[in-house]
Amino acid sequence: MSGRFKPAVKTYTRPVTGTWWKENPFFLVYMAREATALFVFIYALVLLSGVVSLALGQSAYEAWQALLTTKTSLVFHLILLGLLAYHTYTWFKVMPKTTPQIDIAPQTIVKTGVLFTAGLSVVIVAVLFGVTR
Amino acid sequence: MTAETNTRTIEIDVLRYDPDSGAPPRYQTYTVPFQHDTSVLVGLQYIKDHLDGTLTFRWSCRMAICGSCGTMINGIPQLSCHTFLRDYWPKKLRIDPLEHFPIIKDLAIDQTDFLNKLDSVKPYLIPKQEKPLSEGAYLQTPKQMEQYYNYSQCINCLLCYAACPQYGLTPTFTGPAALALLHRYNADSRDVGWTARSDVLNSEDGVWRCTLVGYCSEVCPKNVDPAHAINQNKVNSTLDYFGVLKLLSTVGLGK
Repeated sequence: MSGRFKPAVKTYTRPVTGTWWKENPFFLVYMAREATALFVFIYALVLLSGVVSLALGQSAYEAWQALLTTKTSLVFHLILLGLLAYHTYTWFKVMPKTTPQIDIAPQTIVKTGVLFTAGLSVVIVAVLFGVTR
Repeated sequence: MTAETNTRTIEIDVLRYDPDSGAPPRYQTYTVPFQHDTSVLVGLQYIKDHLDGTLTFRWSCRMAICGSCGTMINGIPQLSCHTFLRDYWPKKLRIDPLEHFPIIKDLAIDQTDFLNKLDSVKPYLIPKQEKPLSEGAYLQTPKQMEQYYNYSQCINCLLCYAACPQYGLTPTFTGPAALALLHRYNADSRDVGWTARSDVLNSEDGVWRCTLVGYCSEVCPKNVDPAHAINQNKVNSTLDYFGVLKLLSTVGLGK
């Protein structure tokens, strides 16, 4: 950045390596948060493929539904659920950093967010179960 | 037990760089005697006084208030006066200059980039109207002071910049301390400088460059929370973009 202060004439600049995130456990946790976002994208593709198969007609949609009930698909979904739950938690974990200056303990904000989401998820599953049974 | 018998020794690897030779930096190992209360800074001073007078490093207050003695200690940005050799013994200790800054000599870094960034956020009160001393102080409630007090504790030690991978990857990023100080003044009830600082805050190299790694707040020796200052201002920056802040200020809610 240019400005009124001028840099020292002769300096040595150390390069940032591509493995900087492996050098500190804190950065590994950060990268885990960022990397699990990829699985949110993958699950979005799963849902999108359902919409596409619905547009293609009844037989395509039934084939998609059948694919979801296979053992491989169930294991895949369980793994995705775990990764997505972790990803969701990481964002509630940093939520206190995004609020204005308020008199609520950061841990209370995190717990409230997690409990609210868990409760809402249970309600949605219950409603869907009631609608589709 | 006497102080004499309580003395142990520890090996310290220090990164050396001599701008005159032009050779790339290299580690040099020193064996330093220490006692229970010997800080890393005192260890460095022992090296300079007794082993190698050419070693260059910055220090001043020795009590974690001046912010001069920041170094990477085993890869973690820390104040060397606030860190003790006993916590590393019997293993070796590695000391590097603060990460992400150019090295001038040995452990002394070039702070120019930060100084220009600090300058760019106008780190001073911009009152609505200057008033003469005879009219007394600008009054403020404890609640109003709470809004910025944490951020006013910054000692410009630059540990947060050494902790920020975004600053390392994109040096044009305004960075944690400068943005925390920008917020310190914006959040002050006596200040009306939002507009004057908004170009820096709203820019891509302002709050939006931060990806909320959050390590800046972890390493701060004064418990300042730059990650909070930056990320709450992403909301403010968005409100500003859509003109909501201006709308709020017309009804006395925004600044």
